[in-house]
Amino acid sequence: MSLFAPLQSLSDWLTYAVLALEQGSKLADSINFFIYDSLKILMLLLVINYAMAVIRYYLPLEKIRDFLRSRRWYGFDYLLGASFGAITPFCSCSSIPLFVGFLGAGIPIGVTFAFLITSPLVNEAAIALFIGLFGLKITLFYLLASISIGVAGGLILSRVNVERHISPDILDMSKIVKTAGPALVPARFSSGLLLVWWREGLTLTKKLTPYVLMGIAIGAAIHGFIPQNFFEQTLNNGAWWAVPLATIVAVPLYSNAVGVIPIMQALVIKGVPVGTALAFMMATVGLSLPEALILKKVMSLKLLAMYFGVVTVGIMLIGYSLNILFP
Amino acid sequence: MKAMKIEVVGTGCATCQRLHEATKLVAAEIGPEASVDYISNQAGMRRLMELGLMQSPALIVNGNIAMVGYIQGNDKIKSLILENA
Repeated sequence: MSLFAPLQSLSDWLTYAVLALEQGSKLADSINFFIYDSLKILMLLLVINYAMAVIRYYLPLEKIRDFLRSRRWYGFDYLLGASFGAITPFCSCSSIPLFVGFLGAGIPIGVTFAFLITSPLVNEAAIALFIGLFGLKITLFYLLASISIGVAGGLILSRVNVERHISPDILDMSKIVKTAGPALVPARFSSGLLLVWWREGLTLTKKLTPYVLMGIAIGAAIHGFIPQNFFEQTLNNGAWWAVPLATIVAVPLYSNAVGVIPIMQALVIKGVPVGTALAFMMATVGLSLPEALILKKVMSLKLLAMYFGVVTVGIMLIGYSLNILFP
Repeated sequence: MKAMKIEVVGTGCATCQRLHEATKLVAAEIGPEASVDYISNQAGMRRLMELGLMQSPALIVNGNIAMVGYIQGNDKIKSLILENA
């Protein structure tokens, strides 16, 4: 991307002129990679976090819920649920209020699942990193893939018997849900809001920066010190077991997408197929034990197992198809 | 001076506890008229549902929703409390 060319010149200057490292050495390669990627990603994060602050302002979760229940959608609501899940960031401590709030508003359980599945798979920081490290095409594929897993998962789980699999406490609580709170209507646009959004985006970016830098540092070390095509002998496209293995190994790893993506990119450069790497990254963020523990308070173990099963299979299918599409 | 009833409502998560700590500090700065209640776990969930909210934690001042989902610094929390009092 030529847009980032000045950043490359800046990092070249810092590496070879300011730090006076020898061109072509492993250390210089790593440092150059680190500076360039950090600058690029932090810039993209700032832009995307700003955009997300705007979206959050005009489209809070409560408004999305009220929109979804406003009319009959004839199945289109699954796509909407998954897309909203992709664009609205929410922390896992909001999983239960979200679940109860959706349920209480009369939104079908399948649509709620479509939202819940997609939400951790896609977040604004991940999009910034994908654009920066993999380009637009792979980013779009990643977005569409996550939304498809959400829609398919939601459709499959929509057949679940709510009375039997959702905890009675939760069903009871869903009866007191109030919708369309007047306090949630956003104030009219004023130029002061531009500053508010900037500050919000900046706060979020600052919070993510240590994770980004750490991920990029590990990625840069791999970039500089692991030989080219190192993984090709063991993890080539022909190894059918690579995708399931990457998915399963990732489940107990609970990490921020922000830390995983730069490592994933470095591995792809060294010969790991991109679908295998994506499966690994999606499983790290989309299937986590803390999330499971939270959701266990809401639903039966059987439903939780189905939820994890559906998402796991979805991620593996995405991994395989990406390996076939972009060999 | 008008009494200021501040509620921090959450599901009991780490973020909720952080907001509670921050709000206590801010309330102490405002003065004795500001009192902070921490409503969490089951009771917190109920309060969120009553308010029609789905994000945790929430900051409520005299019954007004001041902030939902916590990302703001202490200065911002203070100004939100004063605006909504």
